[in-house]
Amino acid sequence: MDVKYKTDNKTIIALGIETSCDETSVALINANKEILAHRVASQIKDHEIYGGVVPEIAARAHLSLLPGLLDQVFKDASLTPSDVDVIAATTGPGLIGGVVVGTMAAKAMAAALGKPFVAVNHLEGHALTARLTETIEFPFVLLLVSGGHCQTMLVENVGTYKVLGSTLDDAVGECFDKVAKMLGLPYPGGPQIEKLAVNGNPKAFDFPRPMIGQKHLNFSFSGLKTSVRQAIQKLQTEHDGTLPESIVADVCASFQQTVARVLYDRIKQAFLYTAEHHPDYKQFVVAGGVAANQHIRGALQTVCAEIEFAFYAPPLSLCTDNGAMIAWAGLERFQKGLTDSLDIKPRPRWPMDQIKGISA
Amino acid sequence: MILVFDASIEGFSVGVFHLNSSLIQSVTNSTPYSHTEFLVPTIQGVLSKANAQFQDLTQIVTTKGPGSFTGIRVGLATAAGLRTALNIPVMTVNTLSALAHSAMSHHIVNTSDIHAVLDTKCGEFYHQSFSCKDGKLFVETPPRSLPLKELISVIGSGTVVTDPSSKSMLENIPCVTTLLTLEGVLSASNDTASEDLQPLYVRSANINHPKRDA
Repeated sequence: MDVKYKTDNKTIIALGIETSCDETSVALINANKEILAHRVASQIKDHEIYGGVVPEIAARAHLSLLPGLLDQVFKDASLTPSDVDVIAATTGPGLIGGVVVGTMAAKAMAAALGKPFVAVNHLEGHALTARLTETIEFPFVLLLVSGGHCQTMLVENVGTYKVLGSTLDDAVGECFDKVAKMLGLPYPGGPQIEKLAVNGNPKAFDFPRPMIGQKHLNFSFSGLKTSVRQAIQKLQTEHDGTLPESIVADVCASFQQTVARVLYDRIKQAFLYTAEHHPDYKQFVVAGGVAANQHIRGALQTVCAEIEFAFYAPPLSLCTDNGAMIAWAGLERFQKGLTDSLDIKPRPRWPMDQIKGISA
Repeated sequence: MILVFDASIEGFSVGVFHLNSSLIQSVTNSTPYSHTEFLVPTIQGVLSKANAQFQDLTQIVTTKGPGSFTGIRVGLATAAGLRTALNIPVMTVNTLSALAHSAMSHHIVNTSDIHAVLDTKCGEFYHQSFSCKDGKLFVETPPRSLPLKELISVIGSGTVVTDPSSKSMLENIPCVTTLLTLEGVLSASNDTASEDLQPLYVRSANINHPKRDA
């Protein structure tokens, strides 16, 4: 039952499984950064009537979707499971019922094929995605913005991350989803807000900009969320419960503009800190589902241009949760010798600065 | 060679059997919630003790519930990974049927009215009734989740078969207690197995009302 490591020159192939939230996804990639197969099954339809992800429903959906996706990616890539050199799965952080499904399937495959297993931290998957699609050397400053996370960190190498700042309350994507829900927009709300904001006036409402100008590097969005909620409630009273489309558009545009302005400021502070203490950092990567928002991307590109950081973002399809990023992180870790034993326990919480690095 | 495992109640067990259903090696780990860590290494260990390799397996049999929702998924996701890797058939069996077969194979029940019962840990009991004729089990009712009062009326004068982790919840109901055995799982697979990986939760995800506000 020894793990067999590859010795010939064939390009290494990695399988990645992602099941930590509401996307079930499997990918096959190789060390030449080619995505050989990639399937993403969204569960949005299962969760939308609840206005958010329901953990038990998500766990059930992952189990019903995953076996079919595994078969499908091998067909898509015209490969067999024995062609794979390393098997990676998200083992946390995330909704544990789903993480268990992906982790167990991956461990069973690794055992049966006699191939190494890599337990990938979901956040590390996001952090390294830009290296799959672009040529970016370490180190870089990372902003991770998604439905569950909002943090900046110094990415020194594979497995070596230093958190600069994190949200003290809500994640940005969570804030988008909740504002959308208040406006009666379908789940997930982020893309809806971006769509409606196009026709709205970003200056129609003057929402608070939490922490703007402050020297520390943390984030906060709950005050903004509350302020938007109060404004919406007031508007609903004024309009007998139903808001005209133009006002919904104005709320979306003003809210999105405020978030972009806050992120611009927080990243500026992170850059100023980094320039002073870590002058070798000259690159910036944004990752996570919120990085798909073009308005927010624009604000981040502006601050990069001002402080002279090179700006990188994964393509939109790799910003949201996906198996390719897990396969890539698994491949990067495997190439550094960072494989895991098959008695790894899935973890609902797993901060990035607790990830096992090369020196550990 | 057949690999049989169960993780659907508490803890887990793993065994390898000859095609004629004789046991070669098995391991049971009764520590609750240890399956996510140790199920796969235990499968490796049991095969190794049997001097066998994954490639020697021709079939996999596991349980699909009812039982612990997480336990069901641990078993079926593991089976899914093994099926993809080895390209061999996976048979899944109803846990209540496997429990009834476990009691039968130990010759501790020989009545014609058998009720397999497991604690749902949500205030109710999974129940399925079987009849027994000439040493063979026949399904009488589909698996259901019942409150205690209804369970008592359904059982009537029949024989209740349950596992040790559910026994204390059955108050004063007389019952035959047996561990869910791998022999029982294998024997149940000869009667009523599915060739897909569909779980048998019996209970819904327990979400009653969609939330209306953030």
